[in-house]
Amino acid sequence: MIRGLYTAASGMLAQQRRHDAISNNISNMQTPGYKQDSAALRSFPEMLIHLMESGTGNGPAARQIGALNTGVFVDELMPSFVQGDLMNTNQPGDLALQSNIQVVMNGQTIVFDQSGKAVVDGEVIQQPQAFFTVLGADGEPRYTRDGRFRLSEAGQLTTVNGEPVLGANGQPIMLADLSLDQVYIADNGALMNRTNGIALGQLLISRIDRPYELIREGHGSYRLPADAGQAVPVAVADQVVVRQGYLERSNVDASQAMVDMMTALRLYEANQKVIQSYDQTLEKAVNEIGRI
Amino acid sequence: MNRTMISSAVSLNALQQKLDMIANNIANMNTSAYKRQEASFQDVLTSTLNQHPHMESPGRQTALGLTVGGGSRLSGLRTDLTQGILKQTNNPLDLAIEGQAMFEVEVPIFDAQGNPVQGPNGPATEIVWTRSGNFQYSLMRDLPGYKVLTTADGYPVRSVGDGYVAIPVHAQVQIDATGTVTYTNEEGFTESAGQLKLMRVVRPELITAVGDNLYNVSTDVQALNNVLEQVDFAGPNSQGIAVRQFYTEQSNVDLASEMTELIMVQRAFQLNARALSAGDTMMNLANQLRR
Repeated sequence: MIRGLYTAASGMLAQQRRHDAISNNISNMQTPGYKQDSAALRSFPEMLIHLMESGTGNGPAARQIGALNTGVFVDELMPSFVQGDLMNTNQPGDLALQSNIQVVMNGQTIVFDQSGKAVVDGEVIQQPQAFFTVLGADGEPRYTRDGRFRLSEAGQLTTVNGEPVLGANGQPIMLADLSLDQVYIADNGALMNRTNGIALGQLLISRIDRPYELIREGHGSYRLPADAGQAVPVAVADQVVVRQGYLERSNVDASQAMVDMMTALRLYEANQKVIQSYDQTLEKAVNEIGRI
Repeated sequence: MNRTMISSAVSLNALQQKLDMIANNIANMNTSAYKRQEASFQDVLTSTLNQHPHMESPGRQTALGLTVGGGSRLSGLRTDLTQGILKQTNNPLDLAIEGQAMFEVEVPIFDAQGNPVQGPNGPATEIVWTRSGNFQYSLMRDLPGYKVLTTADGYPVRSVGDGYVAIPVHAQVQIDATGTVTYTNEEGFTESAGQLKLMRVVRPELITAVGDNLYNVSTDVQALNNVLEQVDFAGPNSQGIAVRQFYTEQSNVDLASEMTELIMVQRAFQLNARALSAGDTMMNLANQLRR
């Protein structure tokens, strides 16, 4: 029985999925607030292989050879919520979030690694992340790092897709007859009139403790599934800063993406070679063994 | 079909549009009062691949289902209304606007064949707005003895009472910071010829460039007053707005930042093209499985 043929085929499929994810990252190298995905591979369930013995009944019991996986697949696409660089645009409606939320556990501040996670007592802890909160078309909140905001005709602060941006009171932010260049947005997300200092509301910046639970919906927004933890407004101690006139660039690392793409391509090729070699084996079995 | 190729092709298209936009900005670096156009990108989600609940294995961090992206598209088009630098000239008809306001001009409407559309009283016109204050005089058949202030393309500029600014043919104009046009008549007295109508841009997001340095409001705007409001120099909405005679506003295109962006977009384009050809290689490999 040739198991390896299907194993190699699953390898090709998995590498193609991985390549798709990488090329999607490359596509979004210029997308503000985009967070890169990386494919996590998982092997097929293990199975135990036995040696085939003579089945006469009085021989020794079949011996175990060991465990074998018969393939691999892309289990999940893990987003990396690492902070992107800030880019100065000088546009009053462009906002960037800078967040580096610290977590204190058992009196100790957890040190997160480059990818935003830490392992404490064998448990993976993700760094909480901050997001702008907008109202989706279905009335449920959506979370985004793409801070390109604008005003609708009625003066409602919206994303580029027209989704209303929510304020700290859970209601969309209305700026009535002001234009965005008359609005100053402070580091904590408070809006005020630039000329007379009158407060105009406060952006709702949500803190999400396990950002991997977020489901990407495209056009820069994420949604929390019903069974996930709740988003809470950021606290002062979280040190989340809103920067007006800046945009957060995509956190895709171009050179890493290039290397990953080459690896995926070559692994795909290697799996293809394995299939070809199985094919040759089969050819011998079918056409040459029986030849006299 | 290979998703790599689809998402790369989609993004190449978007990047090409962005390159066109940068090229247009650079080409208009010396157009007076030109406002640069800008846009950035947005990710496209094409599909969610469902996963069976038994795949919820220990150690899994994300929710079930693979969200597969389909590249990026251009989004958030806008006109950057940042003030351009004012350059002094010797022409009394060179006007520059300080602050976020525009002149109102009347342009004829043309049909698809390029013929002027006729209205109930003469050729039909529509109202558009411009910041380009390189005005000139034009003569009008129904205003003998007067010359009318028009844009460089000959479109009449509207005054506060929605009329034209007409001056006797031999007079010279003085225009003050509020746009009030005066001239000295034959007896040596100063006479007023009206005030230029200025519209403050309240929602820069909702105006669109219609070519010839003219702007119109987006078609989905309900009430014009929400987007552009008339500047009342006695009221608070005139703050920071002034008309400067003998000045012309230069374009607000910054060559250095356009070139930087050009480099970034071009490199992104190259990288996407590489991803596309890698996708092609993969399909080729699949085709060569059986030789």
